Parts: sequence; structure tokens; C-alpha cells
Amino acid sequence: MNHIKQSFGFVVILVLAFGPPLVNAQSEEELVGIPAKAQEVCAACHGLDGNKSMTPDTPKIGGQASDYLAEALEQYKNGMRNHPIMGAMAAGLTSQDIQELSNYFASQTSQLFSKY
Amino acid sequence: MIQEKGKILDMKLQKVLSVLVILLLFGVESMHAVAQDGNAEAGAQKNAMCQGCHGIPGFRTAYPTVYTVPKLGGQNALYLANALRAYKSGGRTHPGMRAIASALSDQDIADLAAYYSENKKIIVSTEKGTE
Repeated sequence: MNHIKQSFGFVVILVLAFGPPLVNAQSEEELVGIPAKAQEVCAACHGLDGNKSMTPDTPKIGGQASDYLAEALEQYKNGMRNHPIMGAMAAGLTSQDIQELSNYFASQTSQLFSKY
Repeated sequence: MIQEKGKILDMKLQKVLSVLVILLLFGVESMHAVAQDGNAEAGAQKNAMCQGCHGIPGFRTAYPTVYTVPKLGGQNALYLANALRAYKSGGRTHPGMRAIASALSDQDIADLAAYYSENKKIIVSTEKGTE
């Protein structure tokens, strides 16, 4: 099962990398300043602002704490956190990518809040 | 030449569509776990262990590394339940969360996920805090 999930993650990353751009509703101007990988990789599942989860098990990341997002991406990358798709996505990110992406999504409007 | 390009585009489109179909199937498959219905009110009675970290805007965990704990309020319930299950099974490794999640039953997990995903602020944070 794990094997299937892994190869599935691989297919997803191939399509995201080489397929047509999945985000095309925005005009060029609106995309200025948004990290390229946020548009090309993250947006397909999390939405361009991190608030539009494509499936119910995809977390909202818009406005989430940036250092938490960075930690999560580092863990996906080094295998401490296991997820077939996120593992494949994070594998291609440099430390600088991770910083940029975390800061970008953390700075978006948020539906998340600290709940007691 | 143009025809060939169109063909390649068609093939690409087919690939994307087939992957989307697979994605849907997997999405449905991974949703089976949500069958357990969570009760937000019950969850509100079970979150004493969560509040000390997740109830404080901008709170940082000190071990094993220092970073801000995630905001849980308004998060998708299935994601929250999956996260707790992963901590419990060892798929996610934070030692504190592992200890806490290990003590939770499937019903506890469903209730807590329902409570935190509910877009109802019990205590409204006035700080921006975490960015």
C-alpha cells in the first residue's frame, strides 16, 4: 500500500512539474510577488492563498505560523514526517524555498486562529 | 507540425485528467476514517491537554526544536484527526504530541477534531502574535 502511495506521489509531482499550469484564473499582475513554487506546486492542493483545500484532508495553511510551516516542510523533506505527496513536494525544495514559501503563506489572510 | 502539437497537448490533458481521477479515488479512500462522527461539544470537554500550547496565540514549543505551535481553530477536521492518528501511530514524531495522542481513543480524536475545526471562537485572540 505504501508502495502504491509513493508511486502515486511521484506521478503527482511529475504532472505538477511538467503538466500545464494549474493556476490560471489569476491575471499576470496578480501573480507578481508570489513565489513561483507557491503557484506551480503548492497552489494545486492548498490554493494560491493557502485557504482553498482541494481535499478535506488537506490543511489550510494561509496565515499559519511561518516557523511552523517551515518546520513541517523540513520534516517532510528529511522524512521525519511521512506523507507520500508532501514528501515528494518537499524533496525538491531548498532551504531558501522553504523560507520563502513559509513566509508567503503565513502572510496570507487566514481562516485559522488559536482556539482555547 | 501544428497537428502534432495538438496531439501532444491532448496527451498531456489526458494524463492530467487520469491523475485527477486517481486523486479523487485516493481522496475518497483516505476519507474512510472520517466515518467516526465527532461531537464538538464533547471535544470541548476533552481538550485540557491541548489548551496549554494551542490555546495561547504565538506559543512556542521548546522541545525538541523551537517553533510556534500551529493554529488549530478553523482547520479542516479530517486533517486534524489524521494528524492525531499519525502522532499516535508514530507517523508524526513530536514527542509531546505523541504522548498526548497515545492517550486518545478514536472517539476522542473525532471529538477534538470536530471541536477545533468549528469556526467558533471561544476565546478571541487579540494579538496577531505568530507571524
